[in-house]
Amino acid sequence: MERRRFLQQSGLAVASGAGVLASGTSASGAAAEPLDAPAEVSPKQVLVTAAESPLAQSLADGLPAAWQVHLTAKMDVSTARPFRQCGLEADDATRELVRGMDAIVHLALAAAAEDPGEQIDGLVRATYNVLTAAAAEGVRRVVHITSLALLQGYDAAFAVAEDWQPRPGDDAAALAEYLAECTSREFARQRQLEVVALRIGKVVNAESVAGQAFDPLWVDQRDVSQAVALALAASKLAPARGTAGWTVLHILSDSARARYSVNQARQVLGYRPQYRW
Amino acid sequence: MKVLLLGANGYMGPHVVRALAPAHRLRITDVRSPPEEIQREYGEHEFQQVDVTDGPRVLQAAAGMDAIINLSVVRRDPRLAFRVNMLGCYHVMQAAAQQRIRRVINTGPHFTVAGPTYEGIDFAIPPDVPPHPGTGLYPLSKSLGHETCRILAEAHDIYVQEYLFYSLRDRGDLTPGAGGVPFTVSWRDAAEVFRLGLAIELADLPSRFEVFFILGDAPQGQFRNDKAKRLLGFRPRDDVARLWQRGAERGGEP
Repeated sequence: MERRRFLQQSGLAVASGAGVLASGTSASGAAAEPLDAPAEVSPKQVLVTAAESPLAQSLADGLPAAWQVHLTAKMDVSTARPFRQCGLEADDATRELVRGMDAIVHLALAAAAEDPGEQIDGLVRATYNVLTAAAAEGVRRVVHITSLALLQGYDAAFAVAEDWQPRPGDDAAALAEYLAECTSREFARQRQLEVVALRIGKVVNAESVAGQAFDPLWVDQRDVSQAVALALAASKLAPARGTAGWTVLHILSDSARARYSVNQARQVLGYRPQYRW
Repeated sequence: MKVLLLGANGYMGPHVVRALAPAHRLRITDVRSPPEEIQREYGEHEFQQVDVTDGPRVLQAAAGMDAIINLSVVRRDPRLAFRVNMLGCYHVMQAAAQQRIRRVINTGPHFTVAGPTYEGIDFAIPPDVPPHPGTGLYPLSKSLGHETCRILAEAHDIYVQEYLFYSLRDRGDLTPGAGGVPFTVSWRDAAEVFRLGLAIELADLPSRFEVFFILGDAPQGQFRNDKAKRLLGFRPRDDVARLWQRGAERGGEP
């Protein structure tokens, strides 16, 4: 019930559509406890990177009112939200960008690039710089958005879970995302940041893919927003194994035909995907 | 064997050139022109200017080679450290894959794998531990290069030997009682391991990505060099243990 109240207060139930969450069952006892966010409390500040991407815009729109969203991108982006253009270099501009933030949602997804080497360097270096700045400025939590492509080296016959070693293979985008995740993991291991790594599937809008051939990696963008909101709000993360401060979760639909299980996200965050195929 | 050396103008490069030149045909490269004395001494070998951050240039330099030895490193520049230490490895591995070069030797510091959560805590640390580089620019960027090599060795028919070092000394500086870090090797012994790495049959390596700690027989037992001995036949000639011999610190011979 407490979770249901939180979701309603925070607007997450509305953002997730059709009030499905409000009518769902409450989270299991193993789920993380959300931070209460009374209306009179000032919103917490969260920075979302890669603001030029549709996913960042979707996350900004989907996060509950408990969070004031700031956006950043390497290029200029037109938005009504607070926005700062930043190259995420190792400089004062990146420090100033993260100063005063309670959390960062870092979209560590490889952008399309002609040169695969530049794709790797661009993503990994930006990740290192933003995390270094975040640690120096005392940012508490980072939600690191990465991709399930890290696991594409496994045969489809395996039920691959979060505790399987990533196998990105010879794909520059997946390799870049893997190396960026390795970078975040070190900040968590050194207790400099609390990192929740969400490996997401192929982000779609359920309505727009209706009638198309099913892809076992589909996840609706509103379910990604739900997972990010839960990862930001959880006061106590309880991974089944591993180091406190480092949590890896798989985020996609809970369709019986989905490629990966979301059980761990369900247990740790109380994630309840609302869109399935 | 025809061997491409990348980053050969650094501290390690001249020692490696000296060890390999008698038995191999070397293409000695660096982002800068080589010192004149090296060009004079090893004039029968080939010299080129190659920047490892330039993928097409690395690919071109690798043409016709049997092996690549990557000695390139940047320690402090926040942009170049990633571009040389991580992206450089990507270019090396792509060049090896495209030129069908099956033997690659990559190099780095010991904390590429054995960072602060091992060092100062554990003993008998072997090279085959999960990498814990920490968040320092140099170790982390090198560790990401290490991971790049590992992943791409899995994806291609390439055998990577990763040699990790820490403190390197001239033989004459192995002074009794002088002390030092418990991961020390002489330049001469360090260079010798590259000769061994070119000689070993690839089929004798347990996997396509093998990590080796290259240190002398340090008495502390903090880091292990037995894998290099076992697989490569490494036999350090210079006695680093004398650095910690008692009595010598007062000026007398032990």
